[in-house]
Amino acid sequence: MRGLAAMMVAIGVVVAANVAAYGHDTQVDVSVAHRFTLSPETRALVRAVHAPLRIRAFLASHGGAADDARFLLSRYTELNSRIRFSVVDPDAHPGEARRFGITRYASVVLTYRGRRVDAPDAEELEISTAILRLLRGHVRSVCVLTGHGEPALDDTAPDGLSAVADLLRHNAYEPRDLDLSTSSIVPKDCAAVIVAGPTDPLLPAEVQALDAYTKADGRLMVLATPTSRADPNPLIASWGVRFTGGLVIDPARSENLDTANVIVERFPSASPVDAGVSRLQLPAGGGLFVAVPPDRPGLSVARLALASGRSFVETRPDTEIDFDGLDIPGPVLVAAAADDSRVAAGETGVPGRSGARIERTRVVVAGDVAFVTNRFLDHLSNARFLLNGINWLTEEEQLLATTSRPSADRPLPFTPERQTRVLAVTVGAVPGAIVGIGLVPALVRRLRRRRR
Amino acid sequence: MRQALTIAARDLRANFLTAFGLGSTAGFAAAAGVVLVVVLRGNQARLAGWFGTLYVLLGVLAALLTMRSFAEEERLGTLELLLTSPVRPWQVVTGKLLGVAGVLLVDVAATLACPLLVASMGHPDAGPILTGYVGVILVGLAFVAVGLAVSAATSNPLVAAVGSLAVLLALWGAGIVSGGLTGWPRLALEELAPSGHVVGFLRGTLSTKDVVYFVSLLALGLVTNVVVLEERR
Repeated sequence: MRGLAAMMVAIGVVVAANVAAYGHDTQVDVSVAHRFTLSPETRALVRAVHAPLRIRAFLASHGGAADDARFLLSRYTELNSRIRFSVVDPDAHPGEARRFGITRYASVVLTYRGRRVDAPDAEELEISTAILRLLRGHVRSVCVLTGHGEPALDDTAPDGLSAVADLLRHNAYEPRDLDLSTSSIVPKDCAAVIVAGPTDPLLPAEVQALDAYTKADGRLMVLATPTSRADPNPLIASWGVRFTGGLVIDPARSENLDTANVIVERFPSASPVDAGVSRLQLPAGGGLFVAVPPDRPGLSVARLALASGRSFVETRPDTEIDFDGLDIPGPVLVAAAADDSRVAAGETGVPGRSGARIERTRVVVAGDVAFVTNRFLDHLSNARFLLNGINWLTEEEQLLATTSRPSADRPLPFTPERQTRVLAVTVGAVPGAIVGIGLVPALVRRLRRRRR
Repeated sequence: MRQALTIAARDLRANFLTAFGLGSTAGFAAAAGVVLVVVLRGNQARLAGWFGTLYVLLGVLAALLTMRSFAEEERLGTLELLLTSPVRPWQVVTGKLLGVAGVLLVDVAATLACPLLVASMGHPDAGPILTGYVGVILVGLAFVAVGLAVSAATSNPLVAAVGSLAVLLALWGAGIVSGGLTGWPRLALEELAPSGHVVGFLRGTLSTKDVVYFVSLLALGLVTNVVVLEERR
């Protein structure tokens, strides 16, 4: 009877202790860069969610990524019960994956009040940035220039840009066509303008309109193409970047035997445009070079992506694909980002704008347009790079910059030699040593007995 | 406390002087190595999968190490001697726990070669390895306490081992069953299962609720053990 009472008391104490610990849980995170502790910015953001927010992480259900995602997402649900999440394996649930237009692993879809924003990975900074966009509610226009043979936003063919349109819509942007042949000014509500591989030259009035837009706090992305009669330099030269034309050839890093189908692995800048970008596939691109005028102290140009040291720009791709004296040696710059900040005088008679203010122009240039077409957008980090570029142009990368964390990827190629080494040590040497050490006293005893 | 330490030292020595004790330590180390090879085939220097399997193996190890603690003493007739001596039941239980904990520590130390090997080949995150081992100690001690309680309730070592495994499986099973439920029953079963409380250790986090859970399991096992011995006295 006394024993039973003691047991009841013990169970009561244990239950009470666990309930108290559940209600007042504190956590110490010793993982690298505290990957599983939500930052103060995220915690504040999560508390501002006042309606059901659903997170669907499309990941392979086996393996560490899905487990990590569950653990991280549960940190969000602990903070706010309106947030719910599920980890969906696209292979096990192809219908659901198709319903959300998921074509690759590691996509996270967030829905809130009928709106949808996608996160490119199940990491805190991406998920929190997506929540921030959902909470902001407004959709910003991204205007895409048309009328010069550019691939179209509604074209679902491999060379079209329908995948870009989907990507933008899933990230709280509204892509729309911009026809400067009917209007001589870029609409004010264009948060950014994309000039995506025109094949015919732009009219002088169109160049003038884009130049005027860019100089007045504009945000421009130029995706040039060497297979074009349109010269992008009038649009970008003022911002310290020039397009060399030609064709980038990289014998060291290319897809299969096509040396013009370049795989880019060097991202030397600390720009947010390169965040999370590991490799790019740029088929048939041209080169860039940076030439910042000395009289522009506010202008800085980041070299976003470089082909390998063996790359070069073939200036006569129609006649030969070999490096010679006429070609431009590598490593070839294939993408750059320009940021120009300057102090502008105040406007008289305009309330709130009478004082001096900072004007900022941002321009992203890539020497290739094919990498964002439907055929290539899902390859490697192409989509991530494009979206980072748009986010940077529209200054939506703010949260991303404050919570940026190192990659969780820890590659360890487990070669047969390494496997043999691990087995030899862990299954051979260590157990053998334990048995050996254990046998020593027995052997000593036996020897002593024999001596006697 | 001196009596408890005497019992612990005697059990510890006895364990490593038998083929069973040596075999279980060597076998545990070898099993950890085999699991490591399987985990590393994912080509990532991540040990979450390895630690996760180690926690399951700890259940088996705890059942094997504790099955003879009381059951064997009873079979040999030494338990009666122990219980009628001027040693109090809590001292006996503490001594037995420390003895098995010592063996467990040696077994765990034998697995240290695994993360060291991974560190020599790649760049694993040191945080989850540290918390993983904190988890190994906590999980191991809690499982040992459960095993000791079951062992004290029977005179057959085999029954003790199977009984311990059954209790631990029931606890793990609570986590699986919870998946099909909703509301507070789901929450209660999730919190009852060790599976939900080891996830933080695998990711490099230590939370009070996980630590309190395993300390609770340890305390409950020890109290049960003392109560069983008091009843048998």
